Amino acid sequence: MNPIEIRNLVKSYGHLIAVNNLSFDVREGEIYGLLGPNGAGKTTTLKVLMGLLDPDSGTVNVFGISSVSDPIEVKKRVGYVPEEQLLYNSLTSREILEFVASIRGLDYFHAKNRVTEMARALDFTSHYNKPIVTLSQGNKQKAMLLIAMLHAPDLLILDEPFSGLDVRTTRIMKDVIRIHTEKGGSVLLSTHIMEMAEGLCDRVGIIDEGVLVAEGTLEELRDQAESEGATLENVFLKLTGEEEEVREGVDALREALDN
Amino acid sequence: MLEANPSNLSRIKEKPERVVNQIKRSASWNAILTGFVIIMIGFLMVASVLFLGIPGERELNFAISLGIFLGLGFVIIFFVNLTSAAGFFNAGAMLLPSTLPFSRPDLEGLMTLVFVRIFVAPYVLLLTIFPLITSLAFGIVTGIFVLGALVTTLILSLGALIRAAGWFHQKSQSGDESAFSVIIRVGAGIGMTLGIVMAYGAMNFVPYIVEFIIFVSTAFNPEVLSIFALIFPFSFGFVGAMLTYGLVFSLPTNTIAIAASIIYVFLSLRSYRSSGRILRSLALGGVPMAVASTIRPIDLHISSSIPALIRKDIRVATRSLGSIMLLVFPFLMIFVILPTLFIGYTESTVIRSFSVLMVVGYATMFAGLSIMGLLGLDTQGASVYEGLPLQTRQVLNSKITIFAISYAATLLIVFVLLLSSRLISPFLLFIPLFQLPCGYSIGGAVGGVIYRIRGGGRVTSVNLVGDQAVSFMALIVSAIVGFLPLIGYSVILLQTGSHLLSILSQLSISLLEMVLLLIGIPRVLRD
Repeated sequence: MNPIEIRNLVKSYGHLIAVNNLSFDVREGEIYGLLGPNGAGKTTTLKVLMGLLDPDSGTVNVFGISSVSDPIEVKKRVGYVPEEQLLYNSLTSREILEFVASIRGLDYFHAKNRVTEMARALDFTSHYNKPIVTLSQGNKQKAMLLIAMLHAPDLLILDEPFSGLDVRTTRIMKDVIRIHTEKGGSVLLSTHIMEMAEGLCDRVGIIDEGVLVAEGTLEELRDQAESEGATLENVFLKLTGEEEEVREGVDALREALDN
Repeated sequence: MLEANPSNLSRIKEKPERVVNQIKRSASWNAILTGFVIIMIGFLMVASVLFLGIPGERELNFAISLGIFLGLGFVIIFFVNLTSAAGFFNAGAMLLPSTLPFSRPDLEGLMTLVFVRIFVAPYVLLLTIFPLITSLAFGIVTGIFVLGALVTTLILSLGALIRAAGWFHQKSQSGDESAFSVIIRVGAGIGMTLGIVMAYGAMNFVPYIVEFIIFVSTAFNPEVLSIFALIFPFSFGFVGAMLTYGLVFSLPTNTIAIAASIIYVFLSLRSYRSSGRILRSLALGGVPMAVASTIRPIDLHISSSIPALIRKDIRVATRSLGSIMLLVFPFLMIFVILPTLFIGYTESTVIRSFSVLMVVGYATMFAGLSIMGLLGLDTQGASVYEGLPLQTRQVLNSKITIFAISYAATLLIVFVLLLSSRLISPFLLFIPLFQLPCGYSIGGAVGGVIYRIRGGGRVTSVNLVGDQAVSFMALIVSAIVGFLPLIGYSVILLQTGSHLLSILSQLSISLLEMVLLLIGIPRVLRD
């Protein structure tokens, strides 16, 4: 049984079809990157997976549990970092982690050791007792990763985890993700940073206007795009049909800047 | 608006039209409510001067009434818009203009206009309705003067609002855990709640305030009017009366009123000029935040889920002024209901059923706003909630528990007051006690209905100030659920005259409601 199995998922907002007949799996121990331009349907897919949005049709299972009928069980098995950083600004990281540990019913010693080790690994110890509002964006992201990983989940679902992070924090986050999979965990992350997906993901799925246009390892994607030795960025542009569009845009921009 | 309600932020993609409509509806409700209050107070003032004033006192009545109206205009703009104005500093509305080649004075002027845009509807209503009413009633000169006085008042309230909203913003974002800071924040919340209640309830008291001031000035010393003529905004009231009726007051009163009015106009100009500068520093420069200076060892305090939810809510509530304001609502009701209980009560009289029912009913009616405040506590923490295996029922139960405690405390205070009073029947003592099950019923009914309507059955966050349609609905639901046992009591008493049967019927309905809601609430909720 795969950690994630999505079959024929359709989700629309009014007349806009955000996700259209999407199917893919995330296998055990792999880092799967969901790539796509802004508004492609990545966040919607992840929210449906977490049971936060109801799909129009299709099935969405996490470890064989339906996200639609049993979202609570799904959330017990998953660590989720959403795109928005909406934390309780007036609480400290300690207070939020206390709340999360209590809700998840964690053992005191297990939780304390986990937080101590994770905070040290993320270089977060000095921020542990500070109010969230005083933290930088990077430290807020670390706090959200701590919250997501506190219960040692089997699966991490990360929505744009590298947005706005500095080099050091990005490196730490990448290492945390790798260590998680080395220990048998799985990761589904959405990103539009090609270098990140190229260096980190075992497989990627390229989604555009709600449709999965390609899927596989980087080599497999190069074959699909018939672009031997190309970077993921070039493969992405070719598969999403944006190569020509980008070229025209750059030419127009050059002309505009010359005038 | 979106910032005030992250549940909207996360769901805006799902049903954008609904959220946009909700924002528009909230703004309309705010304008309608403010317009209604202004029209009511305005007509009340004019009517009291034209029809109720005794000849010889009419001028004084005019001066004091106009002063009170201007004061209420100040209070309405200040208190009603305080929470929404604080959001301006987070909204980033001025980030784009700050990158454009504006001069500093232009940028500050633009900021002031954008800030005023938040509550333009009440401003426009204040500046049109009342001058129009006074023009028709007292002549065009008075109308024009009233317009000028209102502009001055509103500029001064704008200045006060900007300063207070800045302080509010700083405090609500502060994680300062010291007891003193908590006391300051809770005190400010209570003050703000009282301010809003006073602003909307003021129309009931205008004639009494006028009567009191006239009584003080005639009974003690007429020159006491000179002191009023010095105080903002009564100075404008006296000058307005002079323009309408001639130089009817003593020379010192006239002189002081004119001089003070000129000073207040000057101060309003200064306030307007400094408003842009303060807004720029707050919106673009940020506010200093309290930061924990000592690194403490890592530790955790773990409890079971419901206590954890309650502890989290109480922590958030005591650090956010907007939340405190709503959390203290039932306690505020204690102060509101006390006079009701003892109106006409002397040692020789007894307290009748009607008085006790009124007191309990009044506290119950406004209880819906308190549970709404509790639901609004989660506006900040959407990212934490989204990943947690929390059942909607668990979240609602924690809110109901906090609400039920504050509601029970209110009822127990009524019970203690009744213990020391002469009652027409000892069974009256049980009215507040048998109302206790409504702590669960009101919390469950209001919370369940809001979760169902706004969140489709899932946990959602609502904002009392920003979503007045839901506030109104919360009031209705809490009134229905809370009043039914009291109505049952009244009906049985009228039919049988037996206090025992009446009190038993109240208890039966209270318990029946609780049982029905215990069964019904899970059916409307979703995880």
